[in-house]
Amino acid sequence: MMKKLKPETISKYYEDHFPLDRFTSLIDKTDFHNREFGFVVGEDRFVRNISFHKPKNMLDFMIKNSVKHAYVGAVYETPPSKDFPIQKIKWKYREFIFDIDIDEYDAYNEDGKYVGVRTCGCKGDVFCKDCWSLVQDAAVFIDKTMKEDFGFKEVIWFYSGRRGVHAWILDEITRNFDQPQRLAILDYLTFVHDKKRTQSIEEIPNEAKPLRNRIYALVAKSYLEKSFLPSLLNPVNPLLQCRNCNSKMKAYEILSETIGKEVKGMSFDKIESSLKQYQIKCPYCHGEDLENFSRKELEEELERLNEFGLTENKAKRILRRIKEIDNFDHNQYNILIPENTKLRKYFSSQILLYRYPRIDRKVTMDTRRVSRMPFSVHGKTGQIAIDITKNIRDFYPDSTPQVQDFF
Amino acid sequence: MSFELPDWYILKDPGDITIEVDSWYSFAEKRLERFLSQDLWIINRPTWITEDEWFKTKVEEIGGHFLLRLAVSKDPRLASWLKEVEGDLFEFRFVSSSDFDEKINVLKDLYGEKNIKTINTLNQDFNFDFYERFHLADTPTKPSRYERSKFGTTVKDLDKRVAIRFHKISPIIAAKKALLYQGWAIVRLADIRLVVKREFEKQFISILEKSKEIIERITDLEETIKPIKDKITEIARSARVAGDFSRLGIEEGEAIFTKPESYPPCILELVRVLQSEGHLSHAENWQVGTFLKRAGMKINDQYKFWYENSVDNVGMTYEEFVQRIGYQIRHIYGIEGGGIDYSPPSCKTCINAYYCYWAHKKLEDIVEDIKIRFKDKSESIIDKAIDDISRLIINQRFQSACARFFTLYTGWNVRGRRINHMLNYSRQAYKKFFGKKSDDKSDDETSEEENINDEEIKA
Repeated sequence: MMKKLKPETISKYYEDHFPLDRFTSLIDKTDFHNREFGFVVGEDRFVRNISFHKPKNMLDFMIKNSVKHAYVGAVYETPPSKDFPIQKIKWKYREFIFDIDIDEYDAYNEDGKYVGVRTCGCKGDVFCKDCWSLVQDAAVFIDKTMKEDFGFKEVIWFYSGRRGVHAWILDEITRNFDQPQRLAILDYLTFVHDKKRTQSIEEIPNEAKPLRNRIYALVAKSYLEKSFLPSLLNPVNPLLQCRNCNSKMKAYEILSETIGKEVKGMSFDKIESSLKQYQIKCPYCHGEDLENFSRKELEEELERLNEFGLTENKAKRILRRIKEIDNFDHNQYNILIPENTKLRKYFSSQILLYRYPRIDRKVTMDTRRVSRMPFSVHGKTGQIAIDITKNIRDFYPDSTPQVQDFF
Repeated sequence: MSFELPDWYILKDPGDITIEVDSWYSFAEKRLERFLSQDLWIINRPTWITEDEWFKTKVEEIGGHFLLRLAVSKDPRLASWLKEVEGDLFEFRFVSSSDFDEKINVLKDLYGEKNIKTINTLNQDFNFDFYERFHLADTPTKPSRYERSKFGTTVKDLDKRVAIRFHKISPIIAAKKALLYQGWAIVRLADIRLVVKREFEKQFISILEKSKEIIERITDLEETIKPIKDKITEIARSARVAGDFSRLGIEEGEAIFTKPESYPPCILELVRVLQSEGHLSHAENWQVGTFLKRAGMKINDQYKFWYENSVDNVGMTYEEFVQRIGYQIRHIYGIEGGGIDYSPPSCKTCINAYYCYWAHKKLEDIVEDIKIRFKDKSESIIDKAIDDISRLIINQRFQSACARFFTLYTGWNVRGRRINHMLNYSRQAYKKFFGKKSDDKSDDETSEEENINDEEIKA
């Protein structure tokens, strides 16, 4: 649990370590005085419609008020202020921004049951290396699409400081995009509709060939490597589920704690016999009936695939083969997956459902929205919204500096 | 400008043309005739016309168009009518022009020269062959593909591809109907036809603004062009009424609104909700009201319809209701407000901003409705239809789901497999169940009905 951030620590970070020049190099300095900023100050009071004459004035404000969260908004024809809020002044432009949050992959049915795609048991703001790979894959996919399909040159990625990443597209043409133009790019990138509820999947298009090929090269490969029958070839850390309170937990962690030494690489049978041997109970309700949820899921999926004629052996062959292919593409997908229309349809919907990027649409669409300021402190985690452009493929948040680390 | 625009392209700068004031009316009248008779929508000189006569025709075309613009520029209702008919004429000519370069040049004028390229130029710029790399093929235009559309067999080169900067054709990008490479959207002309027409209409409206400035600057001009304006009003009104009735496939005076069997699912559902709950949202009121109007309901009948079904009538006499709540109904008929003669929204607009049965009702309830409505049909046909419709809804293809439902209901297939407008649905359903015998098709699930998809109702 992170200790509460001290205001003086935040102020000191902004005074001594905030890279003001790097921040202002991202935005057009000529219009700085007409740009909106927003901050969380004091006891979680959110203020916006603030503008500054010069970047130095902004930094002074942040130091003086020890701002917990800092946001940057659009540029207007006149400086936004309390008397002239953004609703009353003319919008001029805003950077084109994408926001990928890990909780965009969660969904719940009408009874409140989790029906999202994270199979590791994490949900909401909580994430592990397994599910964070969804964010990494999404960032790589969007980065390539922006550069190869849309021809954008300057795509800069930032960690959001908590549960996701932001892409700032800095090509000049993008900042004047109106809402329909931003929405069109979003729609081009969207295959999972109503993602928090029905998660309906659009078919992979034929005409948009580079996009289609990229889906097979990146998303399908990722699905086959990470989400397709993950425990069929090698033992994985399986999920246990309490039949009494439905809580889920990871088997290796709970066994290690009980036995008193690190457990890993155990087969399903061995795990189940250990549960009985050590009479392990649910840590949440102390119920005694823990089920191997991962095994159940595996068996159900194998049964479903069997209906399409894909046997366990054929599935194992796919899993072995995918590890050997470095440059996976559409043609290799066609060779690897048996030629069965129903199976292919099922596969393509699973690929998109489980591994396709999910974007927070409001951040991209809303031209008057404020977004987290690059290099600022996240008031809840104390982490810095650092530039991760050079390693989006491997970036994991635990490597991010916390504001306390500077002192 | 380094490219030449064709004479039929009405946004082309005509240079200096002088027309005597005495001839204004006849010029305008000839131009109006062009809208009414598609025989006159020619773009190339026919062999039986001499060069001199052809030049005269072109002057009449440009001059007449200029005068019509002047006449309508201060009247939003007439301006909207002229935009639609000019848009139709442009679309027809764009589609029928047999010169591919002409099409490219028109696109350059509409979108800016730097935003349009041929695929050959793109191949040179990027130093590879797009057709080869992406396995593209330009299938030659098959006349049969368009022969049942409103363009008939005059369609030329619509299957050829061009490259447009992606931000100029947002709806096509959103629909993933373009091959995108380094910011260039490679698209078939057939896929951008409507987007191009919308761009033409957008630019036409900004030119109308200039005509309005002329009228406001020169004081007696308004009086001089009044006869032209009166003529346009007369033609626009008759064309609108005749057009709507002919599109609905009924004679003027017949009332499609009296046959709820021909209502589309969205309107049937909204009427059901109105009758059971007594009110709809503002947008839904508008959707039902504009539909009933175009389905032949007169304003007095519409007052009665809402008075009987809506809870707005509580404690109100019919006269009070007409006076107070009737404002919205009069607005729909263009009697109040901006004076625009409104049509119901298209299916796309309904999906995004109004009510679409397929997009907004829960799938389980839709399935239940279908089972109840078609309980007399064979179980296997119903199951197959439910399966198809569910799949289409899940894939967000609501207009196709509507078309599949239409086939289940009428036994007629919808060419293009998509319903684009509620009035088209009604027209065909009306034709099926109440049309003349000669129009009837057999109740065969595989029969082909004429192309609903390519017909458009102006909204």
